[in-house]
Amino acid sequence: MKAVDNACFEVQEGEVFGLIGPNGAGKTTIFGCLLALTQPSAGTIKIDGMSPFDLDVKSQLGFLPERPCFNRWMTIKQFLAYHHWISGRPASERESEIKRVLALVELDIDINRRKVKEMSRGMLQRVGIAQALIGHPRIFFLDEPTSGMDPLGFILIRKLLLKCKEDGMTIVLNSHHLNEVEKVCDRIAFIRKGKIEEVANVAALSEVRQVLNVSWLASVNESTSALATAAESTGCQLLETTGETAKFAVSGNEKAADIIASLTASGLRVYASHFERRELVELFLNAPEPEGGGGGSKHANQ
Amino acid sequence: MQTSKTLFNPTVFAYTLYVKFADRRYWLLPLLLVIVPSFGIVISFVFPHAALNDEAKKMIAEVVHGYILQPTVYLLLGYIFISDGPASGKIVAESDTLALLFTRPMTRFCYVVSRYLAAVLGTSVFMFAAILLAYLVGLCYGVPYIDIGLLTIASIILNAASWCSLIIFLHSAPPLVAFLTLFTLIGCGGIGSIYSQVEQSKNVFLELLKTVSLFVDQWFGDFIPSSVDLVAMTAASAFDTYEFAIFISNIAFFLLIAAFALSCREFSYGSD
Repeated sequence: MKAVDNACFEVQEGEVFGLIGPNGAGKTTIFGCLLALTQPSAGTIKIDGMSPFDLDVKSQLGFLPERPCFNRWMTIKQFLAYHHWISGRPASERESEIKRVLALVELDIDINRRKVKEMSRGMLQRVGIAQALIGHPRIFFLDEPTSGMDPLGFILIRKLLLKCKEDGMTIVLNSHHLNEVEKVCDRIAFIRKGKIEEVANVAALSEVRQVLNVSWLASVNESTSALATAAESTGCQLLETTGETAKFAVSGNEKAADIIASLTASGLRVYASHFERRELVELFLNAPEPEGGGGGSKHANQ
Repeated sequence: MQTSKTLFNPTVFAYTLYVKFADRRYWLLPLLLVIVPSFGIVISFVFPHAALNDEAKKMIAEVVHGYILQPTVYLLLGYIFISDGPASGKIVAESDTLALLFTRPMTRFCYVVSRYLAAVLGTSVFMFAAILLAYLVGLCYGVPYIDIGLLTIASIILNAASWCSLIIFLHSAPPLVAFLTLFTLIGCGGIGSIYSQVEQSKNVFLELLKTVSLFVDQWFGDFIPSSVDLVAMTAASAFDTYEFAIFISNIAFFLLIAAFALSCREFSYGSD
């Protein structure tokens, strides 16, 4: 059984890249390979032209694991100092760096006394992000960053990721929260059953697959066949109709203008139209299942 | 699996050696192990079961000296230093902490060496403290025979090195491998010592047991970690070089397979 098969993608410097997929899709296995925690059975991984096992690569990484299993016995300060020290950063910067990352994750607690084991799930997530950001990493791997966080935490993560992006950090994100992914990612890879189905540009995706909602005045001449004919003639797809409104899947503004013109020409008195935002989650759920596919949890191919 | 740049990491060394002791509750078990020999001396004087003449005092000193050969004490101290389990309030610490650690710029071999050296130093310090305390208590009770000389200190360090090499292997290997190795070693140690206890007999079962025991001892006996007493070895007419070489090679063996096991180990830090 292969957990990941033929996973091939490139992430550009300064890009925010999202891996999305259902449970068991192989996202964490891909992360394991990228972080040199798992050895792929075939293929190669290069980060900055080097193997992920190279220490020069590791010194540029920050990583937030999915489950925050940190050294429970340490105080927050000890934990952050440990990761700062082990990253090989200068001791003289340690205090200021700890303060900086705690400010970034908006964690205002007594770090000298509070221990990791005393923290709530959401607080631990913030500690984990602080740990990952310590020492100004160039590449940031986040596995389910919003896991266990409250709505304020969601906003914080989004703000933080956008700031990291602004600072030129390369971010690879793995998340179930597709709406969050859509808000911060430049590109996303859809993964299902160990295969990458599609790597898409988020901006282009929302541009390409839009839903146009059209409303018209009721009249005796209207018929569903007229709507279908208009859709067919313009290369759009009729999604649903409720008598005086209809939804069309259109690919861009040109097509939207065409369908409105076609509907008007067929005698419908169109008085309103607007784009309905299609969420990433909907696109993901509507994507057709791939033929065959993997599953399981043993080997990763890249 | 990993590129190697350094053999020693001061961060891992420091955190293994003393940072967890910032929590004073963590001192309890090591301190109990430190006072055990002294407590024994006090008990033997407070509740003497026979007249405590010079011979008896020498015997007390021998028993105290025997403390530095006790595998259990080294295993307990070594475990306290090497595993984060007790500090986390668990028997075994989560390997997930290692997964995060190995995303940092440090080789796994370096981790093993640093953690091992810290554990050897820490265990030796506590063991030496135990013997020193026993020596002082012994002086108070008129027992001047407890040895705290260089050979005793060297024995403590070597024994700590021996038993900590086993602990670091058990800590580094995947849990199932560690569990099986531990019980195989205990089993081999137990079975391998039977043959010397079994008299010549016509009982087929006993003879078979003796044969198996001898086989296990001959083939696996040398792989079982042991303690050395340099005081006794140097006092003997001839220094047993073979036994000492086996002892040192066992340390190197366990350290190497610990590093190998950890290097080959794949870490899964979460569920998809």
